[in-house]
Amino acid sequence: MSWEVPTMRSKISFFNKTVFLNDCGRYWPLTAGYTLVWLLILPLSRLTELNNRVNPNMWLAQYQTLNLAANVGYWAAFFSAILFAMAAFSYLTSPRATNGLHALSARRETLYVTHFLSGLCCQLAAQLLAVLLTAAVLASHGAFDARIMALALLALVLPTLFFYSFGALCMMFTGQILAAPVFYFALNVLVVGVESLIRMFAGNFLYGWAESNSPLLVAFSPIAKLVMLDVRAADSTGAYYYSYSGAPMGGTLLLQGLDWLLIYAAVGLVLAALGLLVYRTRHSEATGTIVAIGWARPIFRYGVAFCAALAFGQLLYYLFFGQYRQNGDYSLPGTLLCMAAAGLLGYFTAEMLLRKSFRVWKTGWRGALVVTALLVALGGALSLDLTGYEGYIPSADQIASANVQMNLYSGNSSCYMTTEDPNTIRLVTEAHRALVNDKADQQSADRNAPINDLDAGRAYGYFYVAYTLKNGTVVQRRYNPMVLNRSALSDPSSPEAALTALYNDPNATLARTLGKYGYSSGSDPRTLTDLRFTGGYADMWYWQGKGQAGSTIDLTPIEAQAVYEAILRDVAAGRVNDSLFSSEPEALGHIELYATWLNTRDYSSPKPSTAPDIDENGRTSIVFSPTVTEAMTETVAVLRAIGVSPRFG
Amino acid sequence: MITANSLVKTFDGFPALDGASIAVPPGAIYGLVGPNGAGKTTLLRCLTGVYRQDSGTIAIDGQGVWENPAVKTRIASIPDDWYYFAQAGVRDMMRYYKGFYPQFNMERYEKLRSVFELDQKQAIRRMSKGMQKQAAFWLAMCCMPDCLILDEPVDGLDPVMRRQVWGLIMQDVAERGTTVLVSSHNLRELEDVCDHVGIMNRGRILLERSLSELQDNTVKLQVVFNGDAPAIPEGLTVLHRSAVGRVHTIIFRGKQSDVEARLAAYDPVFLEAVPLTLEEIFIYELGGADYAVKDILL
Repeated sequence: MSWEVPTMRSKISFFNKTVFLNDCGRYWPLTAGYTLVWLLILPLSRLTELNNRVNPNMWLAQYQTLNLAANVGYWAAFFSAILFAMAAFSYLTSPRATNGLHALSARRETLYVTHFLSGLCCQLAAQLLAVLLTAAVLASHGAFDARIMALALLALVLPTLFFYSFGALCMMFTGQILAAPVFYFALNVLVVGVESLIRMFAGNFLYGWAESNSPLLVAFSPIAKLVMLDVRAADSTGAYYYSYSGAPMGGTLLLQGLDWLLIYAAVGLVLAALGLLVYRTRHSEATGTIVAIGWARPIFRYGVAFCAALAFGQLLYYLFFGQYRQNGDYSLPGTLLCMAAAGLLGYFTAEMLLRKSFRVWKTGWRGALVVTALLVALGGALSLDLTGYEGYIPSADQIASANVQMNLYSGNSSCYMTTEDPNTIRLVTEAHRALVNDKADQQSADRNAPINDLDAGRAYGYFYVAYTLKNGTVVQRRYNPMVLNRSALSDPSSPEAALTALYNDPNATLARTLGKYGYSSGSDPRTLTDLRFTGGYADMWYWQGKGQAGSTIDLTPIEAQAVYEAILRDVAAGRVNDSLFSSEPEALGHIELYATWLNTRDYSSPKPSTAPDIDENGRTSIVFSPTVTEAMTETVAVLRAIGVSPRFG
Repeated sequence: MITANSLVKTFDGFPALDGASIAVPPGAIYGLVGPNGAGKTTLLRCLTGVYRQDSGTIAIDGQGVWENPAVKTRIASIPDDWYYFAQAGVRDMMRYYKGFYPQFNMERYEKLRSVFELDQKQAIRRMSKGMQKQAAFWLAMCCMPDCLILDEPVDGLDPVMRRQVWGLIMQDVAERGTTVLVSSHNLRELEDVCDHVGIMNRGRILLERSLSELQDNTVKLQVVFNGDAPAIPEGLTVLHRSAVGRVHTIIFRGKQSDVEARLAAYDPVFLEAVPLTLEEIFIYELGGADYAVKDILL
């Protein structure tokens, strides 16, 4: 600045040995406790495990070591990092200490980096010791692998680097020791939390609202992201080994989530640098304040108000107005009143914390007006559906696939499918449009009427659709509860007629006949390529014929294939078609058909835990549990030919 | 030389320093006095690089203090709330100070052990306030500072130790030319040790002079006039005036000889200069700045 005295500056030093050693000495109890925890978790548990196992599996020992480090590593870092950050920078929360240290002949850079390093080194030293001792334990049992130990160390060090930097940054922003962990934990889940609250808020206003949290934004909530990543040991195919038997053992071990750990560690370095920049601008006199950096105070004030409005406002609304309402059916004055009340409460609470006084009305009324106006504007804008959310239905040529979940609580009318068939997609969009057009009737429907009232021609349920567009965008809508009346079936533009048409579409009938478990766990095959049946069975509690009652009849691959093809013929002939308002037709018995199919889908690496297992031939197992009714004459005939008769047949 | 020009420092809009300027000559013992809330501690914290001023300049021998370790190594300060680590004893703090003051003098440290009879291993937080002050002095003196900045330095010390501490400081000034800036409300004590004085009020330095200059420029006279007291001659500045019977006590700003010469024209029955204390100068100078002792009947 212009008023600075021209000064011959000494070379900037980033490290002071005295401060470093003093720090390490000051919080040795914390370091000792942390070290002890890691010694118990890693080397001691490994030693006990290996000593007590009769035939220790060396690969399993390595797997468990890496898995333990990966599973516990980021959680331990999450909790310990803020403690070490609080210890390292505690002097910034006591005016006496701040003034004392800042009067000494050290630049802010020296103090920050040295304190930062002291906290980090104490953690890293404990981790290194634990890993080295674990390596010694594994080596003593012939299970040492340097690569595994390096991965285990990374699983400990990388999240520590991130969370500790994050904790240090939080300490730079506050002058109150207890505010630091509050900021730290809140900021760790802030993005996901606020996003959820905003989505919930929007859901109050918008008919058909159905949005899930953005995977992109989850990355800004580090601990949530790491939990979602399921950081753990896995082999190169992404498979896990939970038991000592059954699963093959011996593949190359990887650290699942390592890429994200590296990203977070790099972000940690950036945060550490940011912490230094913030510290350089921080005034000594800010010690003792909740938010120590001037420009962050309005952010805190309005941020607390906004979050309070979203969280407590919606809670108030739910308690006073909204318990029995659905999306798009809301009380606008009620919503705005609750939001404004909670927002103002949050605003003045933040103001009190910042000013350390209960007398904040005079200083805060302008800001309170701004908060109220913003919340009213936000609520008003959403109520007007300015973005056209409610009426938007993608055109058929934009849609790559549609996932439909339709379920009526009365009767058996449920259907879960994902389709790429243009004709089925057209029926989906028509049903969707009919529900959009029926908004007024849906919202005015008497929801106090009995749910199972098929005699009166009423059915309750929900309809969910997720369109995956050709550009990769996913458009979701959910109508819950959805009220249908049999009397409206004659109107071709009614939701009842459109949903019935969709319900009896061949793809829909096939999906509901084969059962929702017709798709192997975690997969979404849509088109089963090169389906090969491997067998099946019919439960004799329900079926009579060959074999004894109380046992099961195994089906050969040829028999299973024959049953499947018969089901396809019944579906094609429309024998599975049904009314949405009919009661559930009785299944004749329980059968299962086993098959494999060629899985050509490209899964990300490492494979997510929800992905299906794929064998060495690229095939995935699948189990069909078809619902066979009397109307399915071809299927029943094939079953009779095999020797399986309906129980009452 | 410590200089600060037009310093401004505000806290939440309140100007703790409002254009304060100060000049402490090298080798001087400068007493900074002022009422509570005048901004003395804020000024000292700015001078030691703890606070960063909003505007204005600070320099020690021409070098800025803020974020300048080379200059700060030459400064030792003892604030009113001296900081030590919770578990630390004097020896621990000595090691800590040694890490920041390359010139830390261990020989002096050992010598001063006999002066400050403190247990080096005892946690400082377990010591009395006076003992903590002694520990602070012990360490500060061993840092061999060129500038010693003290805020209420002898507060809490017993009379013997006060004299001992002042003796050490004056010895250091005499032998090493240390510049001392001391803020205190104990004006009688400052009068004994200071050679320069600055009076501060409302974030500004009202006046700063050498003590002798200050005392030379203010005169307290007792006068008895013939008959009624005449009007004070024009051109004489009266800082305070009181009367008991016919005896008038008047404090003028100006040289004693000049004032006496002006008053002699009235042919007073009695005219005598009486000694003026720093405390009186402080009170009457601040009285002119709307900070006077108020006569309130309870």
